This record gives sequence, structure tokens and C-alpha cells, in this order.
Amino acid sequence: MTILLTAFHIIVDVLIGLGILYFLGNNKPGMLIVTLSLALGFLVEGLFAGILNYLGVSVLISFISFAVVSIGFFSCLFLRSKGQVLPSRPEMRMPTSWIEWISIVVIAEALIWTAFNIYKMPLYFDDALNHWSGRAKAILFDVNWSWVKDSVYFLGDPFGHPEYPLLIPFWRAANACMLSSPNNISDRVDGLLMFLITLITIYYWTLQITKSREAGFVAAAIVSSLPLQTWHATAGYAELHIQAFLLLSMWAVFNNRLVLAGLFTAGMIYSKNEGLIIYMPCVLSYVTLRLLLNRETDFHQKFRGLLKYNVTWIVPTAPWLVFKVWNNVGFTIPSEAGLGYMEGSIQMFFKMLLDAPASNLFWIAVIVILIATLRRIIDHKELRLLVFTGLLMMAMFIFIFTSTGAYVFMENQMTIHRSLLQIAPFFVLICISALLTFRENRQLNPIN
Amino acid sequence: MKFIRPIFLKLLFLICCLSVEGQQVQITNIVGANINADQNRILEIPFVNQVPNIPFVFVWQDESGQQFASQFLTTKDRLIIDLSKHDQWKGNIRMAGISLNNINATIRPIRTMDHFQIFLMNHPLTPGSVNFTGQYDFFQWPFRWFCLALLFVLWMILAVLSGDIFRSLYIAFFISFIIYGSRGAFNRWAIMTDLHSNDYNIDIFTDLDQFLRQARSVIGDQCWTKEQLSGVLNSYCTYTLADLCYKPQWSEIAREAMFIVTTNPGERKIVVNHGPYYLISNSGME
Repeated sequence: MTILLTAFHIIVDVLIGLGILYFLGNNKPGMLIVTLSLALGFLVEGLFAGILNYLGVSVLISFISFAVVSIGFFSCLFLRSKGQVLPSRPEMRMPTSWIEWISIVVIAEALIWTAFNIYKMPLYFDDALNHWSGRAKAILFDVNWSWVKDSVYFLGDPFGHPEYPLLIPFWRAANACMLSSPNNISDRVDGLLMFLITLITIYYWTLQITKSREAGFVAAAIVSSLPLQTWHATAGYAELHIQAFLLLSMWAVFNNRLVLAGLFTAGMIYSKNEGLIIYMPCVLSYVTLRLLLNRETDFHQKFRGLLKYNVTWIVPTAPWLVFKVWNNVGFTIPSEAGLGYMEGSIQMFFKMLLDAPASNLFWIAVIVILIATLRRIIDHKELRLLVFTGLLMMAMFIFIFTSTGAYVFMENQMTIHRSLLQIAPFFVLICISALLTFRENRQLNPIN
Repeated sequence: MKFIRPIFLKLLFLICCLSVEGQQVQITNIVGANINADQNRILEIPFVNQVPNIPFVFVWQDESGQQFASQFLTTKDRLIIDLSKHDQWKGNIRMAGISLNNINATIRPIRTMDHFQIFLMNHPLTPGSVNFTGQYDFFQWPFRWFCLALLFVLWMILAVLSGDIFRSLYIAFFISFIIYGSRGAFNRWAIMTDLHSNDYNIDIFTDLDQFLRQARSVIGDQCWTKEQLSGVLNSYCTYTLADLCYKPQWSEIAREAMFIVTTNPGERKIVVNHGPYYLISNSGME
């Protein structure tokens, strides 16, 4: 029953996402369209449920209303567009090289294990029990939950930090609202969805840059082999949500889909605080640089592009951000440590990056590849910008872990590796693209 | 006189209650005495159909009489532990023992097969599994360094053979990373096999789960609070009962709760008990 209801929930999200994409133009491969739709639906539903819940509507009623709106909206578009709203059928071909075969086996193993784990293993990890599923349960039963600042139940405080955003708790609450109680599937299946979104996006994006299907599979296989990746797909944490939305935002900017990029940035911000503090500035820098360096557009077009991106992330997240400011809720977890460099922390950061089982091999390989392909990167306009943005993300992490209260989470290895995990797929894309893209002074794509 | 010293030491050891991380642990199974730590570094425990993941303590005393302890988990079958991982395992060890009875553990030199067994040994599921990865050692070297060496060697060989340094690096990166990832995948499935043998119950939650089921029926429409439980058990308890009226222990309204979940009931009125967990009434004393 849980699987059927979850499948229905996913379909409802995909349908509304397809509708939105139809308006924004969906001339992309079918599988990618479904992926984008799912991410969009996830975001829209979270916003919808959050606003209705604030107005006093129960999760069940809000989910039923959302399902009606989604199905109705899609049906209208389907009839009006004579079926064009549907994604094209994905092109299926047998693998042609041993590398593709191995990659498919590796990806399949990771997905099977993730699905099996979610189906069988109970919810176990701390943050999932507290911040994400704990607050989802409080929202669902509406007994230990309040939107009132003075209440002890304010934003599910007894279960998790009120500073953490609510997209995941609301999605999980909606996922369980038709069951008698949440279970291991309803509480964690979104991790598998985000894992799938990451793999499909990395596949299509690598394919797009390198024009090689094999490279797409290799990139996806490396991502699925990253230490901690599959654990996070099943743990019930928010890391893979951030990772998936970040990748989608960057993909959308790369393809000049600035409205979509803004929406996915909103998904990032509404998933976890890193979305606003770390990644939004990086994606914004990427958008700005791409616009500024594009010689084919005039000032007016550049300004309009920047406005498009910013408006589309600000509008969906505004209710949440305004609510936070209004109620004096921080954008990070309160910490006693102030800003300032912690002695020895930079050495510790690089030790964690280059000499810990969770990171070491991957990041050393990334550094080697970046050095080996430096000339190509400098010569290739797109790669240059992608590498710049990736390094900016890394610089943000270095700052956060060496000069803020987050130092303690590096010292006890609680979040350092999973934070680096969020940007690892993006670096996989950069590395595979740099290795397989021939030197050419490619121009930037024109802005939509 | 030579044989008297070890016997005396064993007796001394047996009557000592060794303090291990603040807990009094009775060490009754002496594994060895007068051990050369540099030559003997493998602790072998021949478990047969043992219930896995039960903590036990290995304690040793160095020449100066200082005692050290380390905690391990039981495995289903033969367990090999590389003691050289502990900085304090050095010089001449006066005496070593484990907190498990009726098991003929031995301390011996390392053999080639031990390296393979150490490499293939499972890293159990812990609350930290989501935050970091354990290290796999192969012939005393971290496996990741082997994979890194493989990356460079493969890169060089393929570059020489094909003349394309970029594609060679791409293939070397892919192969070395997939090999490294495969070791992790192997461990993931081993964890699932362990869980399967336990009917997909997580050991540390077993007692708490049963307790919470009983407590839930007693709490009903009333409110509950709790005194801090240890680690992930605290989160699990809050999560499981999140659908019932909860008065957080750190808030002023905690005293309004009818029931308290605790592991330390004291003299208070116990309503439900299972294992180390108690539901006590907040209204009166026993």
C-alpha cells in the first residue's frame, strides 16, 4: 500500500512539473524532462503544503487539494496541447562498450541496494529522526507543531532546529498522510528520488558536453560509487536534495534556462540552509559571469537575464524567508563561536579532504585531473566558468569550516564529508568533461 | 619460580576490576601473558555461530603496569583484530584478557591470510556510517592508497600504449574509483545480510521498540516527556512517540506531562518497564 501511495504521490508531482515545463518549453530528452518535472513538483508541493499549513489547513487536505490541482492542470494542458505536454519516449540502446556495461552494473547495484535498504531497514540515523522525519511527523499529526514564535513547538523545535527549512518535512508529511503512520519507505523514499535525479542529470549533462554516451554512464557510475552517496540516498537526510537541486540549477544556467535555474535554486534554499548561504551565491556568480562574458547580448538582455534568475528564486522562497526574518529565526544554527580563522583549521580541512577514507581518493583524483587538463579548461569558455564556480563552492566550504562555528563539525567529522559530498557530482562532471572535451574555443550559448 | 610469576599475575588480573571508560568491567578470560607486542599483534577469537554485534572489551597491561582497554563487537564467526592499530600495544605486554568467557582467544603473529581477512572484514552499521567511512586496510596500507597507486600506474601504462594521456586518465580514474567503490558496496551488502539475520531489526532499538509499544498504549491521550537517553536512542524515542502530546524536557511545560520516559527511575512510580527503559508516572512517588 505504501508503495502504491508513494507512486501516486510521485506521479502527482511529475504531472504538475510537466505542466510548468510545458509553459517554459520542454524540448529536452524525455527522461530528463521527467527528472526536471519531479524536482519542480517536489518544490511546488512543498511550498503549497507549507503555505496551506500556515493558514491552518491539515496536511491531508492540502495534499488532496494539490493532487486535484495537479491532475486537473495537467489534464487541461494535455487536452489543449493535444498530448504535446507529455515527454518524448526515451531513446533505448544497448550498451556498446565494456565501460558502459560496467557503469550500468555499478549504477544498478547502487540503485538496487538503495531501494532494498529503504524497503527493509528502519529509520536509524540521528538527523533524519530529528530534523527531517521527526518534524515531518509533528507536522502530520499536528500535535507537537506550531507556527507561533512563543510556543515551545515552534517549527517543531522539540524534534529539530527551527532554523532548518521545511521542504523535506512537508513532502514527507504529505507522503505519509494517507497511511496510518509514517514508515521507513514514506520517510526515506525522497532520498532515492534525489539520487535518481542526480544520476540522470549528471548523465545527460555529461552527454551534452562530451557528446559521448559512455562518458555520461561513467560520470553517473562514479557518482553512485562515491563513499557515503548511497548511504545518504537511504539515510533520510537532506544532503542529496541539496546536491540534486544544485546540479539542476547549474545545468539550467548552462543551458540558458534562467527561470528554471531560479526555481531549482529556490528548491535548494528551501531544502537546507547551505542552499542560501553557500550555493545560491555561487550559482548567482555563475549566472552573472555567463551573462557578462556573453558578447552576443547587450546590456538590456544581460540585465533581464539576471532579473529573471533572481526573481524566480526570490518569489517562491519569499514566504519562508520573510517568515524567518519576521520571527527572528536564524539562517544558520546558532553557534557561540564568532567569525574568525581557527588555528590549524586549514590544515585540518585539507587533511579531511585528502587523507580521509570518505574523500581522499576522489579529491586527489580531481586535483590531478584539473592540473592535467588545465590548458583545456583555460581554453574552453564553458569549462572555465564551471571550474571557477566549483572552486568558488570549495572556497565557501573552506571559509565555513575554518572560520565559523562549523569548525566543530569538521573536527568531529560530523558534516565535513557529507558537505563535500554535495559538490562531488559537480566535480565529476567537470573532470569527465575536461578529459573528453577537445580543445576548442567554444562560444557561450545565447541567452533565452 | 618461572611459572609462578604468570600465575600470580593472572590471579592479580582476575581479582582486579578494570576500569574501562568509567565502567567497571570484570576481565575473567586471560588470553596471554608476557607477550612481545611487536611480534604478536593478531587477536584471534574463534566465534562459532555467535550472536553478532555484542560489545566486549579487550584489556591489556604494559610493562609499567598501566592498563589499556579497547571495545570491539562480536562477529558471527572467527574474528581477527589487528592490535598494532593501538598505539599502546607496544613493548612487552604483561597480561591481556577479554570480557568474554569460555572462548579460547589467542594472540599470535600476523600471517598472510590475515591480511586478506582484515581487508574483507565488515565495518558494522553505526550512527556515524552516514558521516564518514571506515578505513579498509590491505597489507597494512589503506586500500584507498592502493587504488590511488593503481590510478597512476594504469594512467601511465594506458598513456604509453595509446598515446592519449587524457583518455588514459579517464579510464584509469574510472577503473580505480570503481574498484574502491566496490569494496564499499561489498560492505553495504554485508550490513544488509547482518540486518537480514536479525530480521531487519537494529539491535540497539530492540528493547526500546518493545518498551515504546507498551508505553504508547499507556500514554494514550495524555502527555509525555523524557529524561535524556543516550545518543541515537534519544532521537529514536522522540521520533517514535512524536504523534503523542510531548512536553519537551528542556521546557517549563515538561512538568505538565503525565508520564516520563527514563532509564533512571529512582524511587518514582514505574508504570511500564522493558529492559533498561522505564515509563514513570509524573504524579507521585512509589
